[in-house]
Amino acid sequence: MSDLLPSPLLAARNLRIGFDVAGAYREVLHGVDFTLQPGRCLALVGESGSGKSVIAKSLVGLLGDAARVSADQLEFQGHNLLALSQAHWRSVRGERVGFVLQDALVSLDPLRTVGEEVGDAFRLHRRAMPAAERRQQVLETLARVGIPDPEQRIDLRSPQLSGGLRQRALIASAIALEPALLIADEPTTALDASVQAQILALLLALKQRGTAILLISHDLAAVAKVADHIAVMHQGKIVEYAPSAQLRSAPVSPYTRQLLAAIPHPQRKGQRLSPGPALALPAHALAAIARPAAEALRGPRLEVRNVSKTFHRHPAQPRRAVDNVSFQVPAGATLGIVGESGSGKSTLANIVLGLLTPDAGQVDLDGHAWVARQQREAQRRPLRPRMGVVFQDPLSSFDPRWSVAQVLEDALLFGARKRGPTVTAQAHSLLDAVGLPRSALHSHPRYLSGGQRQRIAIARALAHSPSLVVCDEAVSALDVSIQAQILDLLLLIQRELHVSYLFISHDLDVVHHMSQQVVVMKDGAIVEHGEADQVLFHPSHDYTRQLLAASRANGVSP
Amino acid sequence: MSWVVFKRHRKGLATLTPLGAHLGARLALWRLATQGLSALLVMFGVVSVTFIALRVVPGDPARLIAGGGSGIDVSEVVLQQIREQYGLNRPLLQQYLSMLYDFGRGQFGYSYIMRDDIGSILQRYLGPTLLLAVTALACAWLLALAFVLWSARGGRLASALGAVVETLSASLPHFWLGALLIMLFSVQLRWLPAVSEPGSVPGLVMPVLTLALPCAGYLAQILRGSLANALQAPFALSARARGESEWGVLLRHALRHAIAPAISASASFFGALISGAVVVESVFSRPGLGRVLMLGVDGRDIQLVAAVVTVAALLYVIANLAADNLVRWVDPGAAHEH
Repeated sequence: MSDLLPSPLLAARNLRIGFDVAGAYREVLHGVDFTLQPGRCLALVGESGSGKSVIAKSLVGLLGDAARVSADQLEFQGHNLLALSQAHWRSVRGERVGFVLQDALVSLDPLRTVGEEVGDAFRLHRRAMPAAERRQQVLETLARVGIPDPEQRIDLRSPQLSGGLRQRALIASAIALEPALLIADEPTTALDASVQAQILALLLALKQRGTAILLISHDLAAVAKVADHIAVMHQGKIVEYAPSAQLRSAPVSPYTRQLLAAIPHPQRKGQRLSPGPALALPAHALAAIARPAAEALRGPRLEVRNVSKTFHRHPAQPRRAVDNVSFQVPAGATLGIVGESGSGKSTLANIVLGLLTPDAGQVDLDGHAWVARQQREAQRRPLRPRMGVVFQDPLSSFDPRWSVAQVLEDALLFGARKRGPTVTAQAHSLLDAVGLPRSALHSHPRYLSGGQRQRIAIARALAHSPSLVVCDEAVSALDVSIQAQILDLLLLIQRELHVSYLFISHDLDVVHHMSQQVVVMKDGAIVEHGEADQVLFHPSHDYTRQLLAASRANGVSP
Repeated sequence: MSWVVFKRHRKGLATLTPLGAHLGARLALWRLATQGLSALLVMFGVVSVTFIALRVVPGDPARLIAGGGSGIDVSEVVLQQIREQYGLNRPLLQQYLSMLYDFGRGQFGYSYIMRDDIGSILQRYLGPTLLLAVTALACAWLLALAFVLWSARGGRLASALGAVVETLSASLPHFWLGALLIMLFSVQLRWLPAVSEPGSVPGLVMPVLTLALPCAGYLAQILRGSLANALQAPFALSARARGESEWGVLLRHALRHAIAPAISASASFFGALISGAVVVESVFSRPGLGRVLMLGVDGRDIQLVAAVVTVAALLYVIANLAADNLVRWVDPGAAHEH
């Protein structure tokens, strides 16, 4: 299995891909070279838009009619992929190349059972196989990807499975016929750390059984465990191509170094994650946004006392989403909340935001009663400007018909302020503060990048100089390099404006990087609460240790 | 319908745990109970509104029954007899309760226009109208499915053309379309009878087409939209990556996602078909509930109108129940709710 083998499984030389958009040709991949041997794993790593997913789709011929692919060489198992007919492509897909997409909840047909989806490969490529044998084969495939009790799960649909099992089922549907090559496009991105570790272990096991894997990710740390070689991609080119260990320990390209530095690391807390000139808020922006000193208060900004919430969606199965939770967020500081999906983080965030009434307990904001069972929205309204929020998906939290100007003016006009030149000036200050050009005011959030949208969301949260901003998975949907910029921005704003954050994430390292205090949640209850370093380096609860182990298994080492 | 759904639902969850099976059965029962209860509530509301409409209409109901009200002078003795006969001299509440009770057990009273028991009128004319509406709905589905599948594979131009055809067909008025069909197939080509006799299959063709074409336009619009979404979904890409052909992606994946919203909409279309039957039955001189309703409105036979409206509402409620459960069968587990 040496790289010196004469004919690799997959070889690309000067691969170029472009699209005909509205009559004009635009090239997005500018000539890349790579090879992949059987039983090896090559990872393509880069930001969204770097061209990595385009490569993946070109290898299964699914780029669409507008795409143009050219190369000096593009061979798979000795066949020229550039000359395949549609019928030939169909015999390659599923049979010789398996393809796994990001989110199994939408990548498996939610209306069909796992058995039907995984059985498709046999139905399409083994037409003579009787249904009973196909079912047997599906069961074996499900067992092969580590799904316990396949007989119990073969007739379920993907929404009925947990995130980890769902992703395993998706992988099963791709490897059912034991293809020589498995392409996995961001296979772990939407998953909790522990599930992510399981899926990476599964990919490693497949590789050891001889499957070649092309792994695509924005996260260098996540792929390092599985990949033998890593190709770092930037703007349609491979900027560095090296063995995995070498690339991580001695990166040559400045862009690779930048990507590595962008990953929050327990030993680098307090350091900048993104490159660039020293960050500072412009003085006029600071003056416009900063809360008048007279309003500065003693005591915690946010105090959550014994909050509980139970849901009764199914009459027979009430679910305790938040269970007797208490904590405080001091002025100008950050409390991080970490937990896996279903741990109650988001329910708690909604209670803190006054969007959901708890069954018991109380939340105070700046020493005023804010949320309680009897508290009404009308009583809360005067306090609303004191709290901002940044959600995971900023696009869906903006009115889809509004421009950036409307989004910001709507936030600024809350309360007594009047529309006019001052509002526009304030909107400009907000854009300056979050590092966006003032021209962004006239664009539409839909046409901005994910990082720019999140900056708009932060600008909106800052509109009324809040004392507390709730960040609910605010960077979870972003590429690591964009995440780095947003985290740096949030820390800068906190330093200059003394705003407090309630920072919620499933990512332990991100939470540690941002927070002074960390709360670990499991099944709606707090299992650990302490100083950030204490929780990360000397966890006292088993569950925290599990989370840490999973996170470490995915590549980050303390 | 619902027992099929019930069994499927239970099977889906039974594979989890005994607790899951128990829960699944309880949820299905709970759903059936709430569905039945809300259907009853709707019917109660319909009868109540009808009663209010009956009594709020200006004029003395007894005088209306006696013959028109204006012009003819009816003696007070006759009016008193009518009040006696129809229970109009009792307190309103009592009248209301007895109407609820009578309608509840299918006693609709007597139609003085048709000089017959309303129950037996409904029995005679409900069948032909139901046949017309159900055949039209089935026909609309066939037309819409065939058209959308045919144009879905044709690229951008075909779907743009398809959208135009659908909008045109959805905006065809029944009376105009019916007259046009008569002109074409009865007067010019002499293929089909202009008058639709009950029980005659050729006579059913044009009334069904008249109702089905606009409905097919609406259905195709809904199907095309959700089909396009499903074809773009990641699971469609996954299927293609497994080697599925475009037709396979369309039929095995996308169509199922497209059908659910169209079924939900069909319940409302069924209501429109029943009201469309009023026009179509007049155009084709076809006996049915629509004609009965016309007669009742013309002759101000309020009792008859109330009965027909109640039956139409009942049909609508049943259609909604059926659609609800059909959707659950196509899309069990309510995949998109969470």
